[in-house]
Amino acid sequence: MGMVASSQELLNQEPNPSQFFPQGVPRAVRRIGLTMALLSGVVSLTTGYLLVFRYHQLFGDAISRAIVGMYMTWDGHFHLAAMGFYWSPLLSLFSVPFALARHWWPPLMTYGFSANILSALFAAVGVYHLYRILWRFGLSQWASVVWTSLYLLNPLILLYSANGMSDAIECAILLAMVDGLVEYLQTDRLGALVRSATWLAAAFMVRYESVPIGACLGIALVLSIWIRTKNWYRAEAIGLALLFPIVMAGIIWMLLGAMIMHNPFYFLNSRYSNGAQISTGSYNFPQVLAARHHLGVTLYQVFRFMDNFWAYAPAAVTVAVLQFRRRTDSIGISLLAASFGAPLLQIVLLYSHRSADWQRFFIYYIPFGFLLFAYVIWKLPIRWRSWFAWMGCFALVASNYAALEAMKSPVWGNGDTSVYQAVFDSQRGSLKDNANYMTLEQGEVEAHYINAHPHLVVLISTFDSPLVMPFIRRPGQIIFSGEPSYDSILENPLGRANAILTVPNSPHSLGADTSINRMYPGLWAGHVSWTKLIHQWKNGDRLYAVLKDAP
Amino acid sequence: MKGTLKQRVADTRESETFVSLRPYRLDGSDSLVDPVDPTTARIIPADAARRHQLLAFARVGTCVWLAAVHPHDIMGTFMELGLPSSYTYRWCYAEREDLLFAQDRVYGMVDREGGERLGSYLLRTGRITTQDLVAALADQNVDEAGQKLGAILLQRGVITNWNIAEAVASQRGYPLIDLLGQTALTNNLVSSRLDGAWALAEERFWHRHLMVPLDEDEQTLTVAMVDVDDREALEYLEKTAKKRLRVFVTGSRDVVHVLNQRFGATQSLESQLSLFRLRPEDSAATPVSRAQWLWMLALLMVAMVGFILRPVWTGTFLAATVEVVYASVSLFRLMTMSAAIRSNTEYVVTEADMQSVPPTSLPEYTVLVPLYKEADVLPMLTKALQQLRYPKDRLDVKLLLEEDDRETLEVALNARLPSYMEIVVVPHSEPQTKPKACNYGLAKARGEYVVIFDAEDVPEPDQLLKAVTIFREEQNENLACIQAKLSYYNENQNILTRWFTAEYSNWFELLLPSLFRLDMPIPLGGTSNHFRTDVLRALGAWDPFNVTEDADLGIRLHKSGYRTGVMNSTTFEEANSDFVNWVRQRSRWVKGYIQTWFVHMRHPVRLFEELGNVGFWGFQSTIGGMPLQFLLNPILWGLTVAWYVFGSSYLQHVFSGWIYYLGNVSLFFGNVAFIYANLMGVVKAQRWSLAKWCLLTPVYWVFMSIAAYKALYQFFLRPSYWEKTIHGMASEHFASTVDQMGAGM
Repeated sequence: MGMVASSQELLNQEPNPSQFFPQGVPRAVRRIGLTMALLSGVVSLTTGYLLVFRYHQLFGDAISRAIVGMYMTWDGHFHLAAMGFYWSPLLSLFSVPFALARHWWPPLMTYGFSANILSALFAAVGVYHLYRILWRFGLSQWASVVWTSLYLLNPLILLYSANGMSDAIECAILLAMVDGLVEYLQTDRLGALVRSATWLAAAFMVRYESVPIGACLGIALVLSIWIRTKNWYRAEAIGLALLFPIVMAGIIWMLLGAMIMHNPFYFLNSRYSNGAQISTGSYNFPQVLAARHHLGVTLYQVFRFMDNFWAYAPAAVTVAVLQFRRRTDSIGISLLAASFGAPLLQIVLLYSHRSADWQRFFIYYIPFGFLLFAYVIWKLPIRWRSWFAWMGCFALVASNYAALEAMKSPVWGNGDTSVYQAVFDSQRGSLKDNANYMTLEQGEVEAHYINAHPHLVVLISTFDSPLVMPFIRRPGQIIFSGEPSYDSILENPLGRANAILTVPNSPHSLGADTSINRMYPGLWAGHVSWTKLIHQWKNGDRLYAVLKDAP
Repeated sequence: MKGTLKQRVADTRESETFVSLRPYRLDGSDSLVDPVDPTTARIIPADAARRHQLLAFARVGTCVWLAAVHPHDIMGTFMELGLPSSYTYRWCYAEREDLLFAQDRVYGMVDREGGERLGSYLLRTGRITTQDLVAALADQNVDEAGQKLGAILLQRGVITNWNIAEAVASQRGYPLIDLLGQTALTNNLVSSRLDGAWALAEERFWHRHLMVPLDEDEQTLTVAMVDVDDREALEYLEKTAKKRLRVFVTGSRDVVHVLNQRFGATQSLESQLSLFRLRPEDSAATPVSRAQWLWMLALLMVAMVGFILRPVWTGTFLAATVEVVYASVSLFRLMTMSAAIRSNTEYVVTEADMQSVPPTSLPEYTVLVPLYKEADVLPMLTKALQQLRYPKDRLDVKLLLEEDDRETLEVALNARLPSYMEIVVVPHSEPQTKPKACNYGLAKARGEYVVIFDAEDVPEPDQLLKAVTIFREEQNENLACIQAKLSYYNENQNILTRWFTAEYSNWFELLLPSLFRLDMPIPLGGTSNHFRTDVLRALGAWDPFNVTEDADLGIRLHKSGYRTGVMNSTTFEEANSDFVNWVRQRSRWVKGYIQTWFVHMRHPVRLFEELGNVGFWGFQSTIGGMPLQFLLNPILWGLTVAWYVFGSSYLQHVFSGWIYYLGNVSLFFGNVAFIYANLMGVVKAQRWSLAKWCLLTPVYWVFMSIAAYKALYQFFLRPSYWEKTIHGMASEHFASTVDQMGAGM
């Protein structure tokens, strides 16, 4: 009898073995997976440390996300509104504990190193789940170890598992989501489906690519279950179970946007959105302009970015063929569909000129390439599986090498070439030439000025002066754009702020887009009568005093 | 063709054909075909045929077919039979039982062990026909539970208990006594004259052994009983009375009639007061204790004074308390439910498990079915109960009908109920509640185990077997109750039934199994809880003053160290499809939870000690938390609207800082999580078609709050008033579910 003697025994009971698939992952597999995860975390964190402190490679978005955690706790109280509502919130929320700990080790915020730590943590999560999936796909223990290692050692994955950006974190979360889904489809364990759905919702709270990925995945899953079981209600129910959390996460995110920013689509259409930024012309790279409203070029570019992991293409084609030639398999069709999500989004964005073509936007070819490749091997006869798993390693190594080559290319390694050069190129300039590092240094200088003048209460736009705040000693001296009263004070600063920090306001630059320059376009140039220049820094940043005739 | 007889006999030595002499049924025909031709059989005299264990069973032309158990052994004496030499004889082997049964059919029955057999007696006295006997014997042959022939004939409805009593008296030479309709005799039996005899054993003894004392003098105790072979009862009485026993045979309904006369009034009183006498602190006869009233008044006073003197501080304190409690309850319940999502948390009994329990060892099982104004559903209910896969001679089904419910009583009395179903008329008294009726039925229960079913229930046929299997294999004396899952057969009748079914799926698929896993008290569902009868009695059974007596009993079981498990068997019920009727039912449930919370929170410290840390908080979360959340929801929704729409500055002061964030987490995360939990419940129950309706669950929560406020109002004004739920609004679903269960679908 599948019955237990007491509730205590139930607690100790391992799940019943399924007829076809083991229900739970055996402890030995979990142990190896966790070891791999630990190693990945260490490797990623070490890489991150070297990037930040040796090579001074700082990434603006990573620092910004980390600093948002600081904004939310700026005056010692928690302010959700200071999150800004343009970044997906999860990483900013995770940064809050680091922000609170910044007094013990300032680089957590000043260098945004908390973001690097988060990257490394999630790298471990991703590797752990990849290992479990490979085990579920029937790869041997050692083949799984090698495959997992090759995943982490993919140059793009390693870089983004270390640099504090959200892209590899998203990959890790998607791997966790797939792990749950594969387990559910193999064993019918409801807990696995819930886990998968929760990870998918978490993916939304990290990056918006999860929306098309989730949509493609959901549609494919529902259709495949419907075709397989001829039971529409069942397919519908499982689809709902998978997608409900991400849909609700989206709705809540929009509700919060509506309540706090008075715009439910703030993350899409605010002046900080991708679309708004690209409209300033700052990201008008030749290939972006070429793709604009040209479907052929757009498709070519999206296809070419498969250089990140060229094994994706043959694996995807093979999986597609398997679905048509054999009985439709929910796992295969779902993986395949999910892998289309991010590229489809990029096709739309590039074609409509709402996004730049950063290499990292195409990082998803890597995890999904690994998964599809492993899936193909799983579908082979058992006697061939091991041989192909080991032979497949060559393809993985070759793909990783191709990714490295792509990274070197200014076109296909857009956004990452500079990092490669900084680390590997002997012809590189000063390590401190990294723009973000320079901004950081500048921020420190400006903060020191404010610190030295304790009577100043300065209005700061965090969009263009984010790196000033980590060095500020007295939070009360700063009123930043994430505060609820910021807009009101900006309009009527008299008696509430006595200085305004502004950046050069030149057309077609990001500086034109700050809240201060939008409100007072002539301020930087000294054309606002109720202000007086106090200080100017060599990068052009200026600090104006608010005079008594100010509004 | 003709040769000497010796040669003809020699021919038969070549044959080794086996033949079955049992009557058989042709495909598509109801009647039985007897392979034995009585005319041919009479070629051989009865005594010779019985002596030699042979039978001439068929003739084709001049060839006569003979069946014997050992044909070869008869060869030597074959000549003695004096068979006509005009025939040739062919020999076949036959089973001994087959042969004896065939001889009984042809030559008449004899009692081989001494005295006439029951079947023979009934046949001879014209109570049954040969067809009845053959069919009953065929049933007995395949019955693994070892039921007696009399029980099978009773189940088939061809004889009555009284017929059996007559037969037993005749067989065994006991005097027979009729106790029905003899008022003077019955009055005499229950009078104080026989108090000494009645006092020889507990009331339960007389019920269990179906016997009553008839007379008593210095040397002899005279009793009337149904089963004269009940040695245990006879020895006990002999030993206790230290007298010679004289036994009369009587019918079971006769005994029940006398027992009702003797104990009816006491049982009626006990059904009201047994718990109150045993553990007055656990009874809801007094819903709120004096100390609790004082506490409530004191808190109210403090709040009022606080609002007058320091409105913001008081508001903030209250808001913080409410938010913390609300969020804790939500978190606790979600975490609890997640246990059931992660792994299996219920008893899973398979067919093989059930077969491991020898059918002959199955104990007597009492099924209590309280009915009030359920005349319409009674026929289908009895059909559903007849489908229970349990030896009927060990079923003790009691239909508990209220004295003032003339309509149902009339229908029940006119229905041809099977012998194992007994109509128990519950005397009218207050409170007129289901638990009181159950207590009354329990007092008469004979079973080792007892289960409750509602009027509109359709239990899965193997549910009783599963429960016995768990009790047997668990061998854990602390396991006192097994709860079957409840679900609805009319889930798709309308949107209310869809939500209701989704809620039940969540409750029975996720929450209750998790509570079991985490060793928390389980608020039992209203029906399909299978108890150890002795434990139930020891606890004082159900509280007649509590309108969710089931939930209360679950808590008391846990307090006393007993545990409740959940098993993989479902009872299908009728979901309320009418809003007003639904509110009536739901308000009773919520009121009952409030009652239960107040009853057990009279001594919180003691409760903490009795339930333990986890159990205590589990109790607060389920019994206290559920009604609290329904009551708080409209207030919190109203405050949310006031905050966002009207921008109340007072609220912005009160709900500041972390209270604001906690409130938002409860609002957004809590609602989403509970909708998702409902969705998971229907997915786990594989009620696929309900999934999308779960998304509209918040509307259902509004209904819950309406019911909760009605419950709160009633709790203070009519605490023990039983809001009757009207059943029979889904009779088509009911009938089709019963048929599906019967067909094993």
